[in-house]
Amino acid sequence: MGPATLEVLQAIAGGRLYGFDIMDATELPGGTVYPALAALERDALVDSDWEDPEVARGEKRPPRRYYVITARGQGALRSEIERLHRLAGLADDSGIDGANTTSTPEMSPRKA
Amino acid sequence: MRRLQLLSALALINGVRWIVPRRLRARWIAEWRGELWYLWKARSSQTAATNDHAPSGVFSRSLSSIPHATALARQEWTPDMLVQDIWYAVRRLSGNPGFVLIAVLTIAIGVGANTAIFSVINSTLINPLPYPDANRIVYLWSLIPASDFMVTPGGEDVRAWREQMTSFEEMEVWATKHVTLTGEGEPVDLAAALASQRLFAFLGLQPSHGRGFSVEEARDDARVVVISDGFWRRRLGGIADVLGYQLLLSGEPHEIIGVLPRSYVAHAPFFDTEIFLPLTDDKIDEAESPVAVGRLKRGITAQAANAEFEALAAGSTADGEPDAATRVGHAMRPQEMVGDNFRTSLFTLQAAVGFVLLIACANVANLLLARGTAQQREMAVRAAMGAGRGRLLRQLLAENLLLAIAGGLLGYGLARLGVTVLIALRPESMQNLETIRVDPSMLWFALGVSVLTGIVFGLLPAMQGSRPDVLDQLKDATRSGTPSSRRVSVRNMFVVAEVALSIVLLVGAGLLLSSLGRLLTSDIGFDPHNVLAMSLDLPKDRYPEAAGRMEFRRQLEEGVALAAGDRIESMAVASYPPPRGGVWFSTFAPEGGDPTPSLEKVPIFTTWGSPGYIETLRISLVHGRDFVPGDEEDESNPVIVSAEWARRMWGDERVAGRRFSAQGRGAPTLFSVVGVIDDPRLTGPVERYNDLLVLQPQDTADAALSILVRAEENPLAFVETLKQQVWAIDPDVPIGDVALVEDLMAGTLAPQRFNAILVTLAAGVALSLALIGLYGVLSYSVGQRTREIGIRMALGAERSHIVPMVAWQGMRLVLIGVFVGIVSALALGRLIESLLYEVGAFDSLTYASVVAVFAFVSTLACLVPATRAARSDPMLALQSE
Repeated sequence: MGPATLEVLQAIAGGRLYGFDIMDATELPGGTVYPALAALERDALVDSDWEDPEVARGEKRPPRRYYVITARGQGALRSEIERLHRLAGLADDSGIDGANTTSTPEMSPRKA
Repeated sequence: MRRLQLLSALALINGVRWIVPRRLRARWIAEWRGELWYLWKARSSQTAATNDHAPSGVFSRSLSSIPHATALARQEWTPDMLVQDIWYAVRRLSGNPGFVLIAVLTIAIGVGANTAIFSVINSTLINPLPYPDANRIVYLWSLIPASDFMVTPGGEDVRAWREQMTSFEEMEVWATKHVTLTGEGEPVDLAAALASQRLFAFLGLQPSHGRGFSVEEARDDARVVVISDGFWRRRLGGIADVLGYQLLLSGEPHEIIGVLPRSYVAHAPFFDTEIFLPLTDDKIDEAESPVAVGRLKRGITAQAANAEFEALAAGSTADGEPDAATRVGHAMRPQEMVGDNFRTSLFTLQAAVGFVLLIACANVANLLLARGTAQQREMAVRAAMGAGRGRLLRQLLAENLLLAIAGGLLGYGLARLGVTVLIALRPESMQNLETIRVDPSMLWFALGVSVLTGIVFGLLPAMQGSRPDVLDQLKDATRSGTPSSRRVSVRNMFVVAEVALSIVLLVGAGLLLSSLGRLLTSDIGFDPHNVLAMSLDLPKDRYPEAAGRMEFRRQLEEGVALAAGDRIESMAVASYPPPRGGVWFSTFAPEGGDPTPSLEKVPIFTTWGSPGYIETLRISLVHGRDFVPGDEEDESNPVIVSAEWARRMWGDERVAGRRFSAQGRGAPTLFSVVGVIDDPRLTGPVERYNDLLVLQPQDTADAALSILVRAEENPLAFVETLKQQVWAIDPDVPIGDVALVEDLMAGTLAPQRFNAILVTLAAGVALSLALIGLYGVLSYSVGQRTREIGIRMALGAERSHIVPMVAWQGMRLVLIGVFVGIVSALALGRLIESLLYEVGAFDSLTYASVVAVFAFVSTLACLVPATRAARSDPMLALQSE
């Protein structure tokens, strides 16, 4: 899984998010986020659906599409994080200067 | 204003949606619309609260839809699918070899013609010099102040520039020198080049055998030569020990020290040069027409160099102002050396073949549309089985691109053949065509044009073919496909466009042919027919003095007169036969009077002729006399002037006996007018010198001689007689060019003839393609209307009613096309006005002729299918589907 896709999946892990919200949360452009979402959806790691049409109608706008992480997606995310931890551990063991290591990504879910 | 961002963003989504695969499109549009609306509303609330003008960022956010759509499209089209599409296209096309042949050939003609002409433009205007760093090479000229005329620089100019100019990395010089090659068969006059020591290095020419000149050899004027590969193979039989071989040039042995590579292409002004001799600095002044080239320093433009030249010239005069004697250096890029008329011709030709390509494409598009109609059922079945429109469109486009690429490759081959033929048939006077090359980059041009053609003209048929009416097609199992009215309109539109383009080309060709006709029949003020011209070059080593050359000339004239007797009407000796001569720039003034402004800084054509010159060329003498023996030594400097020259000088033609002075770079010289002639156009009908001509006595200081002999019956029969007379006096004098003066004069119209022929050829091809297109559309329509025609005939319609009914369908398109074509021709006519002679761009006779010819041939094209329709059996027609 590429870093951008991982970031998108991790952003969604916090709860359901709409496409533009994911762009804001990850600070990635739409040209990266949406293809990542399409790939995640294709691999059944995320699911998507339309918001309640009544809500949209009430606000006089078309409905938006939101994304949620699936159980499988949770599992994949955990595996990726563990893999990165192992990688960071290997880097420590090899004596690489801590300032040059990639720090583990922020794990706390981002607010939608 | 508030909504503008949103509306722009939504418009972008609407436009980009076509990239998205069809099955994903609806959701993609809805998702992006939902997000953009939400963002706009959210931002609108914020800006309303803060009283800002408009919510920002909505449009910029929508730009992300483009990479998103592209990523989705890329997922749909894998390399496997591409291979499948190509293979499928090959299978479909192989089932229709006749169609493929016609389509590929049609595209090949259009692409080939365009590639050939673009090769000419590339070789002459874009990349004229096949030498390294060619974009920094400029030709160096001496400019006559306040005129557009430039002359070759003198030795002192070149030396001064080398010393004082800072804009150039280096400057090199070469000059023409005629040498006589003896000892290798008949004595031959060869155009050799004197080359400065570093010239070969400057041009990136590394000899394939031996070496170039050393500094010592150039300094000491050593007897060494470098020869071309062609000279080595043709004249020396490609001998193995060519280095060290001694050539007898003008009586002196010269050692061959180098052979230029085969890749050396004779390039302006080296055209005929096969022998190079070292040029020493002090020889530049004596050399004939030295040519200087310079390589600009990096970052220096030709304009900057010219500014430095002007400053240098201003600094050379007392008051900083150039006078008649001042020559200002001028750097000219090789592309600029192409004359305006030649440039206009090239662009006219490119436009002409461009039109041919458009017509060819329209024909192919019509073929594709017709084919698409016939295959609607197949497309419907495939659509019913799940093929999306995008997939069908891609497959049809793949077919069109395959046809286009095949046509492009064949067209490239035709272009190479065409250029070879072009060079072989080029007129002698159009030497710049010799350097045309179809290099490999032209293949990319050909492919690029053909791919663009395939996409632009194949897209519409592909889009129509990929949208079959599935239900209708599947319901009727026997239906073979009926064209929609929109499809028929498109095909008709193509035919109208083809007719219009053909009309424009035919008008252009007609105007050029008309102009050529006027040129060929124009009065040039003398009679060039039945005059033989034979050129000689007396070797300077054996004829160093004027007296010796004069004696040779006298013996030759006596010998020819004796040998030919009454069979020749008249003869004369000139320095050059027409149209060659010299250009004279001077300040002219009547004796004791002020300079004549209308003769200042204008080129005066000058040539040299013996007594009998005027009579031999049948030039009318208006006043005074012809030259007589002794005039060439007369210290009063007798000359014969043209009537226009006399009018400008004295306001009168009857000026024999008057004197004038001419001042060039040296002291003024006095001349006496002994005769006035009636403005002969010795340089040809295309006016270059405004009828300003000064004829001087044949100058025996010049070793160049041409014998002119007028004989009413077959002047060419005297060639051997003349040769024998020359060799009877001196067997080592080489014979140069032999030609009829009328052929030499016809050569002056070679560019006009060449132009007219090529444009007429293009117009002929365009007309043929347009008629084929018209015939094709009408035939197809007749085929579709067979049942209808059968019903009409069954209900009593006479065959004589059917013919005009069907023919009118085609003639209607022709009439519209002719109207559009005539209007376009009127609008574009001005662009070629500079190429026309005594014919206006709106010549009504030409337009009327073109319309008449087109109407006639198109009527025939329409009558054939109409007559065929009228001859069909109504019973069979009623049964047809």
